[in-house]
Amino acid sequence: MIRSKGARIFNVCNMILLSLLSLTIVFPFWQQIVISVSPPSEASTVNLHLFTLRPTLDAYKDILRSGVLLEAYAWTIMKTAVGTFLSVIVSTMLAYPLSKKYLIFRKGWMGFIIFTMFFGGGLIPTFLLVRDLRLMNTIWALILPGLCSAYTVVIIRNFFMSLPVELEEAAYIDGANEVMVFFRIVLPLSMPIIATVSLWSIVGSWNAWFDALIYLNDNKIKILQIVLRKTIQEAVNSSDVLSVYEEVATGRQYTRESLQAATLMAVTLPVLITYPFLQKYFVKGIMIGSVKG
Amino acid sequence: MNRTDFVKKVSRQRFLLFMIIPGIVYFVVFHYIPMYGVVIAFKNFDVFSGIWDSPWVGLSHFKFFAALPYFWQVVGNTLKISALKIFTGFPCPILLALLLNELYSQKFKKVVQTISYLPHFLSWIVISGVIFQLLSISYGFYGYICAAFGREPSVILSTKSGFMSVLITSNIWKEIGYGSIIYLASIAGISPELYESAVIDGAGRFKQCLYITLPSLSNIIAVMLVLAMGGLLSGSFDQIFNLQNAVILPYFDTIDTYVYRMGIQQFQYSFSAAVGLARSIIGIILVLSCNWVVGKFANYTVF
Repeated sequence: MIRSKGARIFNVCNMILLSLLSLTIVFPFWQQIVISVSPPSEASTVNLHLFTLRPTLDAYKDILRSGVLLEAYAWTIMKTAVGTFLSVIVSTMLAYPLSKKYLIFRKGWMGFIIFTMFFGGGLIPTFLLVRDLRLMNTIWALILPGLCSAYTVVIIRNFFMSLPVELEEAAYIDGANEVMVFFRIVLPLSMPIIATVSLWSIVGSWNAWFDALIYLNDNKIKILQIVLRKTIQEAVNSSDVLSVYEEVATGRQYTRESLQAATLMAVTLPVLITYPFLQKYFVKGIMIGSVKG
Repeated sequence: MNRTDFVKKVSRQRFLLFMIIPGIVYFVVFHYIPMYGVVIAFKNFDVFSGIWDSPWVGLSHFKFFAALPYFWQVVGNTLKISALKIFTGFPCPILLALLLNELYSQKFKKVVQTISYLPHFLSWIVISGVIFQLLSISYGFYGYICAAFGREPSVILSTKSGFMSVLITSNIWKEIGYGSIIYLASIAGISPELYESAVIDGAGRFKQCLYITLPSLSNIIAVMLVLAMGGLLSGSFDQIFNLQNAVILPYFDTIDTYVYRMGIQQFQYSFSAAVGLARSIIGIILVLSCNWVVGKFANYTVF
């Protein structure tokens, strides 16, 4: 392909600009990694933190020894797993009948669900409901209120509607009943959308923190994002001790900056590691969502 | 349709009807009961009597906050922050999509895309940690730059303009990549024939972008703008709540942070519910009117 001189110059400038954009994203996280493995004498100094000559895993050992982080990992993984599982089951079960044009009151059910996209009770009534249901300080307060959204249900329904009707008809002719058709034909064909919706739910649940902030107040259930929030906010308010890691930190030399960076990486690493492999499902999901139904 | 037909139909669809039960129960309990709970905005909610038995007070909570100068300051803050965020954050993903589209190397494009989507998948808590470190005087990039140029560093997040710049920049930074996906998909859907005929007519890459790509994107841009306008009164809670400090709080207290502070922290349930209700009603009106305006001028509606 013949390109003019102007086009070549533009291409180079474009690549430089986009590289700079990428750099603004990679650089801060690289700094966090370097600070988390830096020895105390380096972590808290004015520096570019591009590398350290004496890497140490002390900060990671400290946060693991404190037990708080492991406990938070267990709770977070549990609520993410249970929440995603229930969310996918309830949404899929709701979406399938709604994809059938002959369903009784189909328009009514749809309107009932879509209405929640536009209007909701808001923070306070939802909070009071969770309290009245005695869900405060239980894992269910983090799972149930956001279990499924109208948006997810509509997207799954649209996917079901895009499946060829002939497949189901053929199965009925072969003597299958509705249960068999749903589990043997529809579900296996719907794995792409189920994978996408599960991923949304997993990421949403992993990153959720506000529900934990308002519904958990006895410190029994620990959530990773909240532990991280505490370490960050305490560092900002420049108190000298990190109360989250008090028991391991007292009496030893430690660096607040490294502990904070190590906690941040502990929360972020699962996302960073899995993200490049799962990215394409998210992108696909957006495309599915953009199809009007 | 007579009665027996209906019963027959129900019985034939019993599997389907059985399947929707859990979902419908969920929506009733966690979406429609809170909608009913909104009535506390018109009552004096008392914890011991519950929602039903609390006394009605009509519009007194609404009148109360409407007469509160601080409330209007909060509304002003919210509108100012959202408007600035939309104004700066909305065009960036479109620009990124256009730039990515001009790249020759597909491999390079893939790498940039993967990296730029990343911040979208992290919570504002993680991002706030990164921002606090970057802007730290003692061990951050900002402190390093100030030291290198011999300038006296200041606490950026404690000044009004500094905090606003951080809100705007971090918002662009977090969502630019992810926001570009939808535009890239639309660009991919543009018929190549359009470009071919433009080349024959002597249009360069820039002219093609200006006269073919951008006009083809106008519908999706209109849709995204309507959706963005719908969030004018909300949407910044996570970001502001995790970055804020006592010094700048009055200037960056938004409706959402205000409702949280008054309701959850100070137990003024009825008052906060009233503020929240007013917000969602105005929000709906905003979305519908944006939809109407776009329909009128761009001849395209979302709903």
